[in-house]
Formats: sequence, structure tokens, C-alpha cells
Amino acid sequence: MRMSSDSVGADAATPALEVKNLCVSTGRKRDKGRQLLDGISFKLMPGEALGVVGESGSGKSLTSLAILRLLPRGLSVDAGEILLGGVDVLAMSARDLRQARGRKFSMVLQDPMSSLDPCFQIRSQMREALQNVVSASGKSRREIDEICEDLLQRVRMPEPDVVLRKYPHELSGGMRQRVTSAIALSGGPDVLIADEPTTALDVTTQALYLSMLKQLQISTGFSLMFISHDLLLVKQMCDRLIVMYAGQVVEEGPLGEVLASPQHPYTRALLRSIPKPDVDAELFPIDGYPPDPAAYPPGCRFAPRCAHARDACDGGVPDAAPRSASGHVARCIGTADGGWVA
Amino acid sequence: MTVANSQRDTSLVGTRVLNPSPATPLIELDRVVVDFEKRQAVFQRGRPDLLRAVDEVSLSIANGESLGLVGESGSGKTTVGRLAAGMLAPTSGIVRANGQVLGQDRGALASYRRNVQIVFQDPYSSLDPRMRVGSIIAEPLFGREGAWSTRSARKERVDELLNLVGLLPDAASMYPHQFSGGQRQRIALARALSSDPRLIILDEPTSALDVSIRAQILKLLKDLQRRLNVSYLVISHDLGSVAYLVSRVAVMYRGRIVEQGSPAQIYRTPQHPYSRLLLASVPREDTSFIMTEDIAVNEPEAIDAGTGCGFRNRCNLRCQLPEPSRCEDTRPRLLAATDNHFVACHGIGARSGVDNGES
Repeated sequence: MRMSSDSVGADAATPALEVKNLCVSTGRKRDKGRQLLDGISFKLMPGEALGVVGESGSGKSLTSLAILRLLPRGLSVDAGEILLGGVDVLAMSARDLRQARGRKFSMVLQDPMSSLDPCFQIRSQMREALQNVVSASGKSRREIDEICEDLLQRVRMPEPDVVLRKYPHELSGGMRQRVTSAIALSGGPDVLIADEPTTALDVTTQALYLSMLKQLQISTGFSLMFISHDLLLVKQMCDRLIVMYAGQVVEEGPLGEVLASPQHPYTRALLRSIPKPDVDAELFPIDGYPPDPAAYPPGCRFAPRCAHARDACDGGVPDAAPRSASGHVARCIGTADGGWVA
Repeated sequence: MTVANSQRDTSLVGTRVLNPSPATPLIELDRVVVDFEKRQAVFQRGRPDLLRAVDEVSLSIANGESLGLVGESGSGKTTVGRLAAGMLAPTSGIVRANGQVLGQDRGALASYRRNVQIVFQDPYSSLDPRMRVGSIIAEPLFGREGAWSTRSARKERVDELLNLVGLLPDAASMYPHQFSGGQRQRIALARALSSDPRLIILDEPTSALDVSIRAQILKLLKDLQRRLNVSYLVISHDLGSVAYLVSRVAVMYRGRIVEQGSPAQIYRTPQHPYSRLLLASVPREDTSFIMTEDIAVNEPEAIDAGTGCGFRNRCNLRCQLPEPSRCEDTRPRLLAATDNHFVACHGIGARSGVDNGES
């Protein structure tokens, strides 16, 4: 494997995943200028859980697809680097990529019903996945079954031996998502990308699944990139947070710090717009709708919906300016030094 | 405060007695049961198996009142919504609208239905893609006598409604695909409001929407309710949205109502172990959800319409009871725990004094 040329600086550890200035656009001439991801950069350290928050269309799922090189046809990476443990994913050959998927990085998708094949028993789907990640050759069926049962036990599946003989439709949503997680983790990946894994689940099932995933992450030590539109869910799961809006990272930092003193008006507004399960809770919606990628505002992309926007906000996209020594950055001139937002 | 079971053995049928209101309720379900036939294999003989979706549910909604139904998928909330809309006849039990029993004569049903509208979860599939927004909104007005019988009156009404839900008048000549999810839900709401209904059933009205848009729609719903004095039946698994919209909450589990009360009672002092589990599962700013292992393995199983408590296998309170066998033999009845706060759990009486602690 080709190691990346740029060495890691003062930090001793290489990030498990590093995305540098990733830009993705629709490649067609007719749509020229539809830039869907614009300069996405972040680092995911080994064992860390990074939350990615944003609304639909903000580019959070697209980022994860780009990392796995699974972008839909018609979209292309225009610029940027994706380093997986120091190795450039974008430069990998098809063979290296196949080796890396499942072993180096892996993904859990939103809807477990569509990521499992309805025609096959859980057993054969797990076997198929295992063939890619462990050397299944020389192992008897019995031994492979045992590996599958072990994997299911790790995701706290009750009665793994029974579940192996079932079809996806015979399992509940939470159990299906456990199966897909067991498959995703079967190769012992360094990085797991979970893209809204609980959207299709009930609250109670969601809480069970996520506490399982969190405990597994702590005990196994993989790095987790957790994508969600729910800030409070991310708070339960992650150490660090990036907030995306209209194809850009608008705020990044340690989770506690970002939630305690959000530096981008969008992050603030998101926090205030969550209905709380309590009496007389006030609700502050964000007016308006996210911008169309074909017609982004000239300056700050949140400015048209922002309560604090001034004329200065339209004068070019604000830089991601540091807000503290702990890596808290935000793209807002209103909250930066000399800004007008308290 | 808890009241001993024998003293006040009132199931929810007694709500009217306990909570007398001068007007008859808009809609009232009285010990309603709904069984569905399970799909049979092609050559299977004999009678199909029955699935009890709603099991002796009693509830009522007064004029201008809003009730929230919460519970997990498969708990029967949507079926209760369909009953309340007059779209489904109960297997047994009585549905009354304005005091009249539905199902006996067609006239009562027809006139009731004119006063009910539904807003569905997914605004992408609930709006006809081939109709213009104006026609979608005006559709409930067709065939109505009186004020909206002329074309110009309907046009005027559409403009009024678009304004009410915060859309521009131009929207009337556009098609649903030209709108975003939040805007489509506004259109669905305008359609529901067009015939001036007394009751709107909101079936997961904001589940398909993004967080920032969700708050807009919730705020709009609350605002409209204040202005138009319409009743809502809000069906949702999102406890936060329900808390924002309603004045009374019923928690459903496996076809039964297990707890009912004001949002303050349900959210601040939940009594039923299931309500507690539900609330503990909601991600919050201040607390973290770490679930106990024993619940982790006990995901809901297939419903059994038999005796006993439907939650007993997931319940962490049961083993602390003096008589755990009661949970298997006897169905807990919905009893008044405090004023207008009803709970169906054998543990409530046995546990008095330690009620407010975390489960």
C-alpha cells in the first residue's frame, strides 16, 4: 500500500480518517456550478466518535459516500484528499479498495430492510460478508456459523443461533439493524460510518441500539463517524462534532464546548428548535428553507435564514475561524472577533 | 398519591363521570376492540388467525381539545386514529360522534366524516402529483352545499388557506413536486383545513421532516389550533412534538392504553413502567440514556390477546412486586392514580410511596 507523502506533524497519532478540502459536484456541463460539497475538512482520531449534524441536503451522507468511494453516478470528486490511516482512498486501485472495505472502513446505513436481501437467511448473508473479510477457506460451515454467532452476540442479539436461520422480514427493525451492524463490524474495521442508523427505529429501540453501539465502540476501540440530523442524539454518542450546512462545515469542535457555547447561529438555532418532552417548552423554529445548490448565496450560506445577518455577511464565504485552543472553529463573521452577535 | 384499586375501580369509560363536561364529546371510543385477520398462506385452510390491534380502548376528545397518542410502531395508535376518523368499524365496542353511535345509520357517519380530516406522515405520497396545489386544497370542498358551491368562492377559500399556512398565492397553480417537504406538509394541512373540520387527525405529522422544518410545522399547528379552535388527535412516537401540541396524552402499548393524563403528569411523573422506559429513551440535553441489559434483550414480541399485562416480559418493576403472577393472570385495568391521571399497572398500588423515583 502506498503511504501518504505528508507526514503527521507534532501529533503522534495518525488520524484514523482525515478528509482534506473535499469538493464534490455534479460533473455535467449543463449543471456546472452545482457544487454539493465545498471544501469539507475534518479529522477522526483513533477511537474517537465524531458526530456529523445537518439537515437533508447539507451533504452529510454525500461525505460518507465519497469516503467509501460509493458516490452515485454523475457525481465526482473535484478536489481534496481522503486519508484512511494515512492511505489515500481516492488513489486506491479497485483491488485495494475491495480489501479496505469491511476491514479498514465499513458502513451502517439508514434502512436495515433495504440493506439486507429479503431472499436469503441471515446466515447466508453473514457468510457472504465474511468471505470478504476473514479467510473463510479451510473453515468448515460449522466454524463459520460459530463466527457468525459470536458476531451476533457482540451486538447483543438474543438467541443468535435461531436468528441465523431467519429471513430479514422475520426480524424486528432493531434486530435487523443489529444484523447489519454485526456484518459491518465482522472485518474488525478501524472506522465505522453510521449514517442515521436509527431513523427507521422507535425511540426505545433506538436507545437500546445506540447504547449497544456506543459500548461496543468503547470496548472494541474503532473510530465512529456518526451522521444524524438530531443534535441530542449526537450528544449521547460522540466526543466531537461537525455541523454541516449547504455543503460546508460551518462549525466544528469538542462536543461539550460546541453545545455549551455554539459559535454559529445555525448551530444555535438547531439547538433551540428541538421540541423537548416537557410541559410549556418553548420552540424557536428556523424560518425559511435551505438554499438550492444551483443558487447559493454569495457570502454566508445561512445568511438568508439568519436572525443576525447584516450586509457584511454577503461579502464572501466566511473563513472557518478558530474560537478556542481546543479546535473549536466556526464560519461566521458575526460571532468572530469584532463581530456583533453576542 | 395513589388510590387503592378497590376504592376507585373506574376504567376509562368513567372519564366522563370523573371529568364531567357540559358538551358531549366530539368523538368517543367506548371499549373498542379491533381484530385484523392475518394474511393466510395460499392453501391454508380454516379460519385465519386474528391479530388484536386495538384492545378495549376507551377515550374521548372534546370540542377544541387535543389528545396525543404515543407508543411504538405496532402499538395500535394509527388504528385508533382510523377509528376516530370513521374509516374503520370496530370489531366490538362503540364509537360515538357527538353522542350518536356511528355505524348504525349512514347519515350519522357521513355527517361526522365531513367534520374530520387527516394529515399523513409523508407529504410526498399523500399529495396527488398530477393535481395542482389549488385543486388539491379545494378537493374537500367539492360537492358541498352552501358557501363553497361556486368556483369563485372555492378559489377565494384556497387563497385564504394558502395564506393561513404561510404559502404564497402563486402556489395554487404549481404542482406538489415543486415544493420541499415542509412546504408540502403545509399544503397537506391547508387541504385538511379547507372544509373547516372540527377534528384533524395528525398521524406523525412531522416525522418525515428535518429538525429545523419540524419546529416550523409544529409552531404552525399550534397557532392554527388557537385561531380556529379545532381539535387535534396527534399520533406520534416523538414525545417532544406531542408535548408541544396537546393538552392530554395517552400512552399505548400493544393495543391498550396503559397510561393517560396531562402532559405534566405523563412527562414529569410517569407511573407506568412503559411510559418511564419511553421517556428514558428520548435523547436529552442533560441526561444520557444507558439502558439496562434486561430490557435490552426483551424487544417486543408478537401480541397475545390473552390475559395479563402485555408489558410484563419487558417490565423491570414486575419482580419487585409481592405477587408477580398477577401480571400474567389478570389484565391491569386503567385506574385513577391521581386526578385525571390513569394508569394500568398492578404495580401502582403495591409501590405507593416510591412513585417518583427513577425506574
